Amino acid sequence: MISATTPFLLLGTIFVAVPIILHLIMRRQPKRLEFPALRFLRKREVSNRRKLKLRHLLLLLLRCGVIALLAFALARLRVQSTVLGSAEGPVAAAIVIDTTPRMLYRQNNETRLEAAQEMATWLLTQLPAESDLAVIDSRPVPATFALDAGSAQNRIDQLRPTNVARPLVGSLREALRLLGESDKQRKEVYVLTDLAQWSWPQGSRDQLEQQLSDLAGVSIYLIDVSADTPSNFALAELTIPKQVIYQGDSLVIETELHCEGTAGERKVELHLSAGAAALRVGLDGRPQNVNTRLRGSETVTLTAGESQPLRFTVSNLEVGLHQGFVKIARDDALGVDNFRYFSVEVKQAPKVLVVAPSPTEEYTEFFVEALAPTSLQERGAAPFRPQVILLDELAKQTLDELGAYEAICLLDPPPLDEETWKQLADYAAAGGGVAIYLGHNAAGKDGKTFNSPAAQQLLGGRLARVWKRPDDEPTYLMIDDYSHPVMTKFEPHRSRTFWSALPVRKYWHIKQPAAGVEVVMSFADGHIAMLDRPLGAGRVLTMTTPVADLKQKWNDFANSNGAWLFVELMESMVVYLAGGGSDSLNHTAGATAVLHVPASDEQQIYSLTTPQGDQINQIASKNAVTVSSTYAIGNYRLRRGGDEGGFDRGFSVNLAGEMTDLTRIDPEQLDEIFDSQPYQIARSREEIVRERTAGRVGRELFTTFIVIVAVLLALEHLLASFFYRGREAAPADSETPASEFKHKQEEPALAQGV
Amino acid sequence: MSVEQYLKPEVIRQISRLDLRAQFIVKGFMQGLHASPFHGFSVEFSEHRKYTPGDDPADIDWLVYAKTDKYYVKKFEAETNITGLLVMDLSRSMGYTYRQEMTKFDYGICLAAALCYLMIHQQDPVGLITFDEKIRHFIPPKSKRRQLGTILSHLAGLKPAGKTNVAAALVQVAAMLRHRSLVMVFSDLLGEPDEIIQSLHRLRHGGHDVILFHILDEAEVHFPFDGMIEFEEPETEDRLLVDASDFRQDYLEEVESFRDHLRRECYQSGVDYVELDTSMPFDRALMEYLISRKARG
Repeated sequence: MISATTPFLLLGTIFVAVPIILHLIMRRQPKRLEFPALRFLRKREVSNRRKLKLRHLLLLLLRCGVIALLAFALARLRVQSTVLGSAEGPVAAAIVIDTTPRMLYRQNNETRLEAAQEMATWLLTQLPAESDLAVIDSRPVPATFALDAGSAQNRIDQLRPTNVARPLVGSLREALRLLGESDKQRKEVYVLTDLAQWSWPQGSRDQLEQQLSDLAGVSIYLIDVSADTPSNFALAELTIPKQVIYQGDSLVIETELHCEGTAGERKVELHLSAGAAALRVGLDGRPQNVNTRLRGSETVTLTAGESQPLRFTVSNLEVGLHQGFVKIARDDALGVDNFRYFSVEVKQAPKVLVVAPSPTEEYTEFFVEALAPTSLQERGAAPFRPQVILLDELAKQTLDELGAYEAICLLDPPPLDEETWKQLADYAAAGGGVAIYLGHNAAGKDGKTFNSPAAQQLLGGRLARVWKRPDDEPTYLMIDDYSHPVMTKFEPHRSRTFWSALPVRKYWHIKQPAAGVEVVMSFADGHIAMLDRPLGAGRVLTMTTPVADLKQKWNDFANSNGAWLFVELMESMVVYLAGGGSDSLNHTAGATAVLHVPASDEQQIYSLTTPQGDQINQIASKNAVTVSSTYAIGNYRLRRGGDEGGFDRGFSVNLAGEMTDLTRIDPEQLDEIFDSQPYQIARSREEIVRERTAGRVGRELFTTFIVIVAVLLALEHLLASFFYRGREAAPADSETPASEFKHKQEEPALAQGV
Repeated sequence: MSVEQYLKPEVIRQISRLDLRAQFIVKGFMQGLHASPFHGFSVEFSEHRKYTPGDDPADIDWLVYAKTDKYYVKKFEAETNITGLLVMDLSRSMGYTYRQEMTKFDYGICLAAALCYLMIHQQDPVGLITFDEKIRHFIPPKSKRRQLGTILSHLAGLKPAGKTNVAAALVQVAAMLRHRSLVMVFSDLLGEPDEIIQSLHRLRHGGHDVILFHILDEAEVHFPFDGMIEFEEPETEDRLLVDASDFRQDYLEEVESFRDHLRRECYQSGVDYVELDTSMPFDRALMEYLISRKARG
């Protein structure tokens, strides 16, 4: 079978017509000359004409042949036949190597990755010269062909395990895409893997099958470098219910120990870093400078395939950042899943000033209980430290005294004095948080309203009137902006409709929010429920319906089925106002970590210490530091301003739990994946050799064509110079000096004469 | 400029007067000879004369030197005079020149004039016949000095025109001549070679010596053409379109075979055949004449 790599270049054969056209059309116009010796020409006329025609035809054929063959050569015609293919032509080969950390499994003092590298190096020597070679690992980056075998080898030597890995299917698809770009006829993919289940996720198989059917004829060799009988103890990902705990509360860390292969007893330990120094972690995922304190351990006996949940509780943590790790005490073949890192923050509970009209108990009972449940207060582990005062006392507080509180909550306040409004505005502008829960008192008396300029400075909009819902048709809350920090914790439950458990009968109607004010929540009938107004460095939240209003019955927040939702909402609001972020401190490798930092007008530079001990400067943007290069596993620390009173936060990065799962894929599933494409599984070099040589045939004819073209050109030149040699000997031009003729004849004549 | 220069056609063509041309050619020719051409053909002693440089020292009469103390050479009187007859082809093809320098006809005229000059100075009678398809003019041979002027003036007035028939003309010449003569034919011989040879046989049969000066244009000999050319025969106006570059070899072979044929036939029948082209010096032809003259001397 003959095929062409660039078939459109075959159109070049039409240029064969050029010499023919020149031959037919571009005949020279004859000169007319008188010549008496015509009789001598006549005698040879016929034979000469015939000879000339033959010569012209021969030259024409040679020239046409040269053009046609050049076109064929440039179109890169190739012949596929077993006869021609006996010599191996270059191929396009992609060597896909699984570099997930799972490949660090050690057997016979050799990791799976090292075994794969050794095999790949040998494969390179087996591939024909001038092949297109690509070495593709598990990093989610586009693949390219290596410049030559040397650089491919270099690439293999430099392979390292990648914590942020795509499943092997992704790498295989990338390899197929790359091979599709190659013009080589024969395409081969060598996949060096341990054939773990995780590498072949269900979701991406369809696309793989599609690509395989598009790129027909590609040979796939799965080279199994897995351990014979893997034996491993692995820690599952850590579950930390609270990443930020308040002083007095206990840190709870849950995980699971899994046994693969040989049964045995293992001790699992929890260590906390001592001091402010960041924990160093090696490339294999093990902590290096072990300056840690053991804070808990459990011993577990497991049989093959069994898992055991573990729970660690650590009490009496000081305020500040705490980083550490959970580890399996005894080393095993796969070390990378014996360690799990974590970061938690211990905070002092924020002080909250709760201001209510008299009698304060009526207004504050549920609210205070929501912020600081009695049971926690007794243990000293409540997340907030609420302080209840009367409205009248608020006016007596100086700004400095107010500054001792992280947030001020006004429960159902009546309109206040101008000065009090002003003082609250100053407090907020200095970085404090103010919450105003409007209730029936807001109607005002003595001509004071919430629509005064001083009050409006804090509120989010003008109060129109009290909106009453029919008794049997209450409305309820709806979240407008899930990205708002108050609402982010509800985001995972977006699809659920539990807000109807908090019925609302009356509320203040605000027609329109003021400029720069964000609507965070609305009622189901579309009116505004919660407004967020930034004020200087602080914030003011306005809610148009009161909390825990037992007498007026504006709503049933505190005594309905949805009371838990009320507690969550209140806590979330006060946390937001008190400036406590709900940053996630534990991530999987590759995720983006965001740490909130104190607000500042100036550009702040923070120093990030990575698990490798590198210090990287990070610039805060929008009151947060964003770290996206979380490729290394371990504990990261973000600091600024020294040990005493300086900024000190951190986060941890771990491998995704399933990435170190050694469970092998079913051969049947592999058959399903490569349904349309034959593939071979090989475990040794011998198996690969057999498959490979049986498969590779076909040869490109470029070289052959070029050689023939060269021969034809030489032949054409020889013939042309042979046919027309007279031209060079005696030019047609009559300007030839007469002496040339003269001398030729003169010498013999004289010799004869004398 | 040395006298030998006058043997070159490109120098001679710059001289317009034919008598001067003849004189220059002959003087140039003699300058290169060791022996004077005016002596030695006859054996009968006629008189003594003073030795002049150029005479053969062997001819010095030492007895006379012994008596008179002066150098004298013996002078011999020709026993028989050779009657020379110049036969000039007047055909149109003789007027052909490729380089526009000297036609075959001009070349022939110069040569004829030189030979005439030479023969008159040897006191040989010389005549002239011109022909195309038949004989056009005849000046009977005479050896008087005046004959040179007559022939030269006639030659100077000739123009090549019309067709030719060399064979017929030669047959006619053979019939005209009663005495044994040296017939010198100047022609390009572009006719039927076999017929020409036949007519030469006729001349030889009549007891005449024949020198055949075969004059071709240098272009006819070397064929310096290239590319597509339509050639036209001037006499018959016959045309032929050829690629000259491809034809050269064939043409040269054909011309050579033609000349070869003539040469062989002439040798067999005792005719002196002299191949000439318009680029060749005149001495070749003159030498040929002298050798022929001596053989008959």
